[in-house]
Amino acid sequence: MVRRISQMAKLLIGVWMAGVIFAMFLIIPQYEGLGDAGRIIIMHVPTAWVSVLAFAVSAFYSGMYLWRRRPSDDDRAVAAAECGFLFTVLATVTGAIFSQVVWGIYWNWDPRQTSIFVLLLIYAAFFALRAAIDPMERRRRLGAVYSLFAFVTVPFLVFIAPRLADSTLHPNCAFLPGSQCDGIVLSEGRIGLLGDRKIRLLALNQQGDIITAAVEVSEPGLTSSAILEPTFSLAEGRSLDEPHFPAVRFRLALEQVDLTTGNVRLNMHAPGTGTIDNPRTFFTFMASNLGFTMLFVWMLQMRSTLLGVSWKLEEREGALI
Amino acid sequence: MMESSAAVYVAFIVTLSVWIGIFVYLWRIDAQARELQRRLDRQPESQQRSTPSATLHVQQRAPSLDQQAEELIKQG
Repeated sequence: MVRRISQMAKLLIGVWMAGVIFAMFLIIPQYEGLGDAGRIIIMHVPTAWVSVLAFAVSAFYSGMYLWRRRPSDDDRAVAAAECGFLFTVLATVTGAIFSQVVWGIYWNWDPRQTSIFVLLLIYAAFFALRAAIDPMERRRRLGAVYSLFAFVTVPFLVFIAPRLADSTLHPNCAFLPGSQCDGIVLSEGRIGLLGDRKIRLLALNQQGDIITAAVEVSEPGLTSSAILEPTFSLAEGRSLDEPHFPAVRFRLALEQVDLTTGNVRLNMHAPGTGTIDNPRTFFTFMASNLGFTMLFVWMLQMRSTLLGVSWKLEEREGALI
Repeated sequence: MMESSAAVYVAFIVTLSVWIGIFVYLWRIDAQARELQRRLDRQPESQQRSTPSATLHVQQRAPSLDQQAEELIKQG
């Protein structure tokens, strides 16, 4: 009976994910500014979420192993870390594709890309450490301790570090409500960094209630520059014209103007802002999160079973020799 | 649906095919893993020695090089 339910659940994962793929391409609407390429968010964010979940599960079972010393806990910890690594790679690859579409380059060493790369290195070191230690008990013990320490870095690298950076192109503001992308405050003649673009506020011009900022935007590497002129309505208290940065789909917005101090707040607006406000997109997005989570649970169970079987076989062979 | 271009349908077919491939692969690995575990659980440890036991028993009984060396030292 249990086996039958288990088989049904696995079949459900297959059908569920097929449904998510169908909805991703054929049900949800195109994203403003991104077109069809923006659909990748339905895969990108859930894989990133599941990788965090997997690393948390790995840390949990590592702790359980150190407490109870059951090999099955170690098997689950390793299996979860492997799944986490795999899903992190998927998130990185889908993110790089998104990056190519939006920023015009696959890899930009953006704070988000750098932090995920460091995370991959930390967990690659975990597997290298385990492979380098022969005595099984010692391998499990040190691996569990390392896994616990590795997980401490996960919230920092995934959630905190990219938000600490003032200059990230990653569209946190677009997809994660509550994320703060405050932009930068400049006065005339001052230089700042927005994303990986150096910007300089050249002048402010007022015509009635409309403020126009002349902003020099330099490409990464300072190879070329352009003058953009975002505008702000004093009467309505909001930005009006938001010109595109050269060669990318982000827009430059004049969000605040303080005429008394001469300071203005400039920010980068990502395409796709408010993407998951659309109900079809929102439900597909949540279904994808659920589908990837179920897939992770299945893979975790399967991989830990395989690890358990291989250890058992090794033990029996060892006992014979 | 109407706003989707032909490229979206191609991407959909490719992604779905990749997922079906992954799913079938996972399904087979899962079945094999469960079967292996079932066999291991069912088979008592003593019966595991069926094939290699003859060779291995001989190896166990044969004195190691260290043992032979110790024996020679004792014999003077």
